[in-house]
Amino acid sequence: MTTVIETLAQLASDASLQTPQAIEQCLIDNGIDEAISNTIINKDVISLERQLDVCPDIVCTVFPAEDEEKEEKDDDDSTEETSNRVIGL
Amino acid sequence: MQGSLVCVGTGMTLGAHISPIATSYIAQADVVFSLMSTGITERWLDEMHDDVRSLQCHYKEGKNRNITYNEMVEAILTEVRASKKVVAAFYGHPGVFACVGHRAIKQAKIEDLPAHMEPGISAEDCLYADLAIDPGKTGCINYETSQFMFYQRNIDPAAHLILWQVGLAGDKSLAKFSTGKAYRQVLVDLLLETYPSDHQVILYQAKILPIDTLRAEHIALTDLIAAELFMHTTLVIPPSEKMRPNQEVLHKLAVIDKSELKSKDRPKLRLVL
Repeated sequence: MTTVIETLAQLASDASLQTPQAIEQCLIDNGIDEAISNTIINKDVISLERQLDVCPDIVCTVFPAEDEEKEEKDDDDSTEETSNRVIGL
Repeated sequence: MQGSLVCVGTGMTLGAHISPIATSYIAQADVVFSLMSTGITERWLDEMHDDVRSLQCHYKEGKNRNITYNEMVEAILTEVRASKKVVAAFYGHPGVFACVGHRAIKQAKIEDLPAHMEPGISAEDCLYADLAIDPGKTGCINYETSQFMFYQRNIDPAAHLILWQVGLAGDKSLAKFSTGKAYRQVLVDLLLETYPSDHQVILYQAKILPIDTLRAEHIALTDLIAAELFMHTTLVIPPSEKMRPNQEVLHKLAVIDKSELKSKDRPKLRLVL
C-alpha cells in the first residue's frame, strides 16, 4: 500500500495527475483511506495535518536580519545591546 | 574514515522540486538533518531515510535566532566530526536566505572536513514563475525585511523590490516569530518615502504541498499594516516608475561608438619595409 506522503509526492511530481479526476483515481488506486482522500480532494491542509498527526507549528525562518561577522566587528566600536550579539562560529 | 557534509535543498513543493542528486545524497547518508517548512514535509523526509533528525527543537520564541542557528550548526558538525556522511536538508534552496548551511560548510572547511552545497528550487524561483515576473526585465532587488529597515538603502522605484520575512519586520531582538502593526507602520512609512500610498503590492506564499493554494494577494501599500502575515510571507513591490535613461552614460557610449565607426571607415594602412 502506498502511504499518504508517497501519494502526495506522486501528485506533486506526475504531470498526468494534475486534474481532479486523475487525483481522485490516484487516491483510489493507492488505497488511501476515504477520510484522508476527501481531505486531499478538498485541499484542506489543516485537517490533513491533524489526520497525519504531524506537528503544525513549524518555524521556517533560517536567516538573521544581521550578519554575524558584521555584528562581531560592530561590537568593537558600538554600545549596541548584547542581546543582538551573535555567538560567533 | 573522514566524515563529510552536503547541504541540499529539497525545493519548495513536496516531491515536485527535489533534484536527483539531492535525493541520492540523502539516500546514501549516515545521518540526515532536516529543516523543513511544514510538518508534512518533515514527515516526507522522515520516510526517505531511517535516521532523519529534525533541527526544529533548537527554535524557541524569545531566543536569539543566531544562537539557534549556531546550535544547529554544532549539531550537524558533531556528526561530521564523528566520521559520518552527513546531509543537512533544507526546504527551498539551502543557501538562499538560509544561513545555517553556509555557516556549517564554513566551519567544516575551517576544520578541514569536506563540505559542499547542492542547490534547490527556492521560494524566489517559485515567485518568478507564479507571479510572472522576469527579474531581468527592469531589475529586481531582494532584501531581508528587517535588514532593509535597519540600514540605509537606496530603493530603485523602477525595479521590483522583494522583501523576505516581512512577518518579522523590524525585529531587532531576532527572538520573535512575528511582529505587530507598530513595526509594520515603520516599514510602511519607510516605503512611503518612495512609493505612493495606493501603490499595489503583492503578498506571496509559495505552494508547499500539491494541494496548497498559492497566495498572490494584491493590496494597497498602506493596507500592509493590517494584513495577515506569516513567517513565510514575502512582500513583492512592483515598480512604481519607468526606467529613466542615464543620459551621461549614453553620451559617453555614443562618443565611443562614433570613434569606433570612424576608425572602421579609415583606409587600412599597410606597413611597407
